Amino acid sequence: MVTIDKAPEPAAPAADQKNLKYYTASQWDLVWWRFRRHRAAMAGFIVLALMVFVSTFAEFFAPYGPTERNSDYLLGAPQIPKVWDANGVSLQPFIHGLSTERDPVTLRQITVVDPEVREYVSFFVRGQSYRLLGLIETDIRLFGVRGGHVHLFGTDELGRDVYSRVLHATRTSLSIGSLGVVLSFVLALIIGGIAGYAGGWVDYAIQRLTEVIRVIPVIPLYMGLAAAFPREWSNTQVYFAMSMIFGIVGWPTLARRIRSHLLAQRGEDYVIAARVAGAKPSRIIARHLLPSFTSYIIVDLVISFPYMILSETALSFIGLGLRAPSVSWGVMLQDAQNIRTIEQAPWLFIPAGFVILAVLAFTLLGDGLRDAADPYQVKS
Amino acid sequence: MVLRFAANRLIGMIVTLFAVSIMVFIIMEIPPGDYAERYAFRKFSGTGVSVTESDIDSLRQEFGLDRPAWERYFTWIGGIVTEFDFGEAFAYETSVNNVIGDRLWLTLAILYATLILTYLLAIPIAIYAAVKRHSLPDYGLTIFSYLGLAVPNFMLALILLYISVTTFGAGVGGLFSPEYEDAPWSVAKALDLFKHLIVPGLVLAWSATALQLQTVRATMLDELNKLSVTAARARGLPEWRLLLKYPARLAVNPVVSTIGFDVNRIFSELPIVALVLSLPELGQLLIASYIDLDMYVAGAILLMLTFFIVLMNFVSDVALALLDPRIKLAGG
Amino acid sequence: MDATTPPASVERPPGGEPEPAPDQLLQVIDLKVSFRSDEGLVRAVDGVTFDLAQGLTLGLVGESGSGKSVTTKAVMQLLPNNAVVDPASRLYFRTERTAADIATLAPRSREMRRIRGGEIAMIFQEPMASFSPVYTIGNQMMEAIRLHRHVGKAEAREIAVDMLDRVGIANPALRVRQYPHELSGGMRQRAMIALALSTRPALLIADEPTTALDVTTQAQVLELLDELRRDFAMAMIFITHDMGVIAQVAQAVAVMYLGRVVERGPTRALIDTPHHPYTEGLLRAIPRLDRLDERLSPVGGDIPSPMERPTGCPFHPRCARMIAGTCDTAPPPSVKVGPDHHVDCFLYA
Repeated sequence: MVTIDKAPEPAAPAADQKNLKYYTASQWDLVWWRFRRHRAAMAGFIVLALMVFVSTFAEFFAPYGPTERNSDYLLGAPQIPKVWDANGVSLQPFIHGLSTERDPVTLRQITVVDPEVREYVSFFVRGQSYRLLGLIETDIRLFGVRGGHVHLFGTDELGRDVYSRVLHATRTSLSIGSLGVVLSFVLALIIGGIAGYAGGWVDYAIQRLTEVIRVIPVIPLYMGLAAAFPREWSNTQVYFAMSMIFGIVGWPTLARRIRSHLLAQRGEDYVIAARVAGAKPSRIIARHLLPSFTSYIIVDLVISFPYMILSETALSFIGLGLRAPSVSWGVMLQDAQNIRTIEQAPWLFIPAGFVILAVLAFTLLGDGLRDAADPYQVKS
Repeated sequence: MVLRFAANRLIGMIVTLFAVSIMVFIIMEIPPGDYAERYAFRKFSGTGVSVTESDIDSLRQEFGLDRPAWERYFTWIGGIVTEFDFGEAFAYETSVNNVIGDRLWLTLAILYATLILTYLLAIPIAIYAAVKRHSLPDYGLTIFSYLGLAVPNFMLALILLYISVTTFGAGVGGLFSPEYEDAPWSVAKALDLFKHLIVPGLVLAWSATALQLQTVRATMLDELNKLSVTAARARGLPEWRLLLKYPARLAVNPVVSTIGFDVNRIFSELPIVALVLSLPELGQLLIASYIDLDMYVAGAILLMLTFFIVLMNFVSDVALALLDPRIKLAGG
Repeated sequence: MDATTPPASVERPPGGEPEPAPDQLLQVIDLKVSFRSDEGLVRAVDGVTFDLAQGLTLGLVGESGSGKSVTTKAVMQLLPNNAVVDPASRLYFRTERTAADIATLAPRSREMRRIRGGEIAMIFQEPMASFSPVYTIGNQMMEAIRLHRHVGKAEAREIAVDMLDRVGIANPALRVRQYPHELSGGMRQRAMIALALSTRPALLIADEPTTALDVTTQAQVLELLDELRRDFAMAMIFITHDMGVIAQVAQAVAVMYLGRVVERGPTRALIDTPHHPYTEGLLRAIPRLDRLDERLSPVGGDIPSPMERPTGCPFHPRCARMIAGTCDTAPPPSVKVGPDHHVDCFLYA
């Protein structure tokens, strides 16, 4: 980021100084100033930053591993830490303990909350050991109950902690989306760049291909490609294969935008001026064409995220995407597919909240960036 | 003029469909193993008959799988074009046409119900919001359209399902009441279908409406600032007549031009929504056939869905040419 | 500038409401228009006063941002929603059928709609953009005709064809069925004029109608407008930033600067003996064939933003003859310097 910082003239009044700063600012400074005023976009940015941060260190922030089971608390309701109950106030947050009873009618073992027992939630509790970022071996978790369990978002049918799983799922879903976006961007840059720069029949052929891919409904197309994954593939293979199909199906929209940007800018006076001045094509592309629409490309990338995330969720949801024991938002929502479970355990819907939050955040961020991306637009 | 334009577009449409059919054929060919293996596995698994490589080879010959891919492609597409024969569905041991049956018409019923709901909701509300800019309804619309884009349709379907189960004790799925399920077509059955179309229609219209609200509102705001609107106002035209004749009339154009896009979006979301709401249409069958790797069924459905998207694109092009006199001159 | 004390004006009768003069078609008295914006109220027109007799053309001259368009939009009640017209402003309009203070009419009232288009018509700078692209020329003309002249469809079409013929469009019967994009720029502006005049208005407001046209077409349109004004016995307000154009069409001129009329008078007098330094500057900026060796000297500096309105005389920061301590403190007085010739300047006080 380049800031041209001119010393204001000593006699200039405050308004002139402000104007001077405005007129001499770099493009990125202008984008940043405009973006900062966009409160909704800032909120989206913060939400996403938090999601990325917490899910990167999911093992630390989650009290349990994604497949760790608490067989005493199957399909258990969320436990919200309290600081007081009928027995008085406590400085340390606690949850009520559980005890098993036999149902007098069905004679099944059922778990009930015992309001007389307090289990205290503490910070930096030792749990299952893990490798932080795959490097540092440790067993310290942000919070937990010593000698017991705490399930902020409840548990699923196998007794796995929904909260811990959601954090891990966030990592999977966001990263698979990012990989897909990066891949589609690289493809789009190459293909759109060729079309936009070469023109002629190359452009025509690429245009028709783009059109054909865009006309087939996206999720059925994803499903068709995902259905072809061999059953014996490992989770890692499926993971990368999925981001690959997102990339392969996702590039046309971006490529179209890059092509039209290139075509539009090619005829601009400043590009012709550069050409007349004797600049080489490579220099024109690198120094003039690309910077002229980098901001638009960034916006396009940001707004293509929601599609990737929603597609992953949808594919995994119907069983054609990631499969257990992988954990993603879509995989988790598979549990909420039948009426019986959602009736009994509505907290299995919680991952849906994260999907919505992430998509909303990306959309708001994208909109804010789009407004900010055109710094030469008249201030409104 | 319009006829020549339409003819041009029609040729373009056929070319696109041809390319699409190749793409679909490729998708049908990608899954590991071939039709003969899957057929043999399915037919003889559990029966105790052991299948040898030569059995499969003879099956391959029977189905013509030993011939090169391009030849098989032409047999497949030839059957579709000349006899509407989409091949055999091995998982059901009958023809694809039999498996699909009524589902095509039910899918189209859902599609058109969704489109009509989308436009009936989006166009008037967006126009109103644009005219009353910065008012409470306008802000409400903005919030709704963000939500509409963020909450995926199948999740909305799940939420509706949850609400209906917990409050009414009954699901909202299906396209027919039990008594009409297998009944022959009658007026009563059609009415029953109509009632059942509202929920899936609203679920599928959800995000399309959110998107169209934004588009129409933005175009309308643009149009309201046009000099031609001021000029019409300077002629003394009453305000409501003016709004309908000039900006609103043009704000509908982007809707018309994106009909194909909406159909694409609806078909994209249909399979999963249909799965959640257990709708007996093509999308749900598509998922099932993908999971069974019953690729002739999947290919047929993919081709049908895309055909209707391309067709609606064509309809939208022609309608736009009729609506906007500037396009006709430009020609094909 | 203090909005509560009106500038010294010879027109304003001492005390009480200003009286309408019965011989004038339009009297604009102390018109003030502001716009609500994020930075607060911004005054765009600051006490404009002028009048216009039946059948004559008034040229309204000034740079962009001087308030010419806002003034005429106020007369048409076509201001955007965020505009505020000072309640003390008066816009008397008098014809055979109308006698009203437009400032007191509701913008959407029946009476205002009758005046708008029927009594006062308007043509704009961009002939392409002033027609809607999706309706034929005839459709849009007949809309105006049927709205104001209570005739049937067939008769309205006849009037439209006649009007197109009258403004010099060849083959008018074909043209009414065509769309705006099928006409050339000059033809579109002629069609716009035909549309505006088809309701037989008493006043035509022409907002820079020739700016977007090439020079030859410009001259033809100017000639046509002047001819039509005489034939239809209608008055005209001609907005332009070009003093050269004014000399061709206008009988009287009002020079506007930053929301105020700084000088007004008969065209000849104003061009021969300009009084306000700004008027002098505008006149020096016109290239003249007989003085090709002289350098053109446009007015130096930029028109300030209405948000940063200078104190005192709005022109003083750009004025070469500024009197320090006077021009930058108080608003200049309005001084009569000839028959119907007034200037707002301390130099003549």
